[in-house]
Amino acid sequence: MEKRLAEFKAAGVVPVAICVDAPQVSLNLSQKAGYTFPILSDPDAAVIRRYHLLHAAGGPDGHDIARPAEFLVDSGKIVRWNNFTEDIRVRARADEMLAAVQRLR
Amino acid sequence: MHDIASEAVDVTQIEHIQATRFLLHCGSMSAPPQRRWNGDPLWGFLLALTALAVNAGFFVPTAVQAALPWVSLLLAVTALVFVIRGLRRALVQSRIYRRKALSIVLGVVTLVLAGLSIVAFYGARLLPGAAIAPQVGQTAPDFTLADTHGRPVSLDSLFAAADSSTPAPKAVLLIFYRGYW
Repeated sequence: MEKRLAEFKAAGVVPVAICVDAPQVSLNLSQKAGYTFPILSDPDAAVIRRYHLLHAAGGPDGHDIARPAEFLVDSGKIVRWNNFTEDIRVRARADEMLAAVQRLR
Repeated sequence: MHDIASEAVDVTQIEHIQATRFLLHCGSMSAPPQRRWNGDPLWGFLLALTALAVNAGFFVPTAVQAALPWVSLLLAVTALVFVIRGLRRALVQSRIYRRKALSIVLGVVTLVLAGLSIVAFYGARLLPGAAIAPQVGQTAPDFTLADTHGRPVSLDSLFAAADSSTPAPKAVLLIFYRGYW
């Protein structure tokens, strides 16, 4: 995803990742992988619940985590595109997301 | 002229011929026909390996990625079909098929490998549904969460321009992921 970041920026899209990991954990990941997009921490999965994405006890040690999901949200905070994978191995592709952005115009 | 002595010689000759014929018959049965090669365990093994190898494809962002789980499952199930037939041939029909021990070992290994792919398929799909998650046209809920440096970031703030020289973002792409990397 980081590789396509320039394309997202050119299309006027800000990618933001959210998960239950603590800020320090996400910082380590971000630095190791060279990510420049923000990663937000939702440790008690409150926002995950608000988005109805809770995967109860889905993480190691039975922690609550998010089921994978992507949302393209316009400036009116309306969801214009979403993606919910059925298999955790299948990741959303930058192409799909960029195509959804193009349709925003 | 037929006397008893010559009759006895005739009988002995007949018995001799019969005895020879019997021994020749036994001799021709002592070498069994060559047993056939049991290819099924090998084909099953190769299929099961390929089913596992397909997982490497998930690291390549392609349009067909969504089909890979099914490809892997299909290969693994096909591997099982071959290995079950191969094991049956090795165990039950070992008089027809050779290399019984190798077939059994290869068969058991294949069962494990194919099993891994099948377990991975179902495990990767153990996800809650997303029917009540925000759908297209609905409003995305507000939030304020800490970023990697502990600074609070709200959904509203993400739509603000980074600075006066760059335009405000047209959209925000929220990526919820499992975490625990």
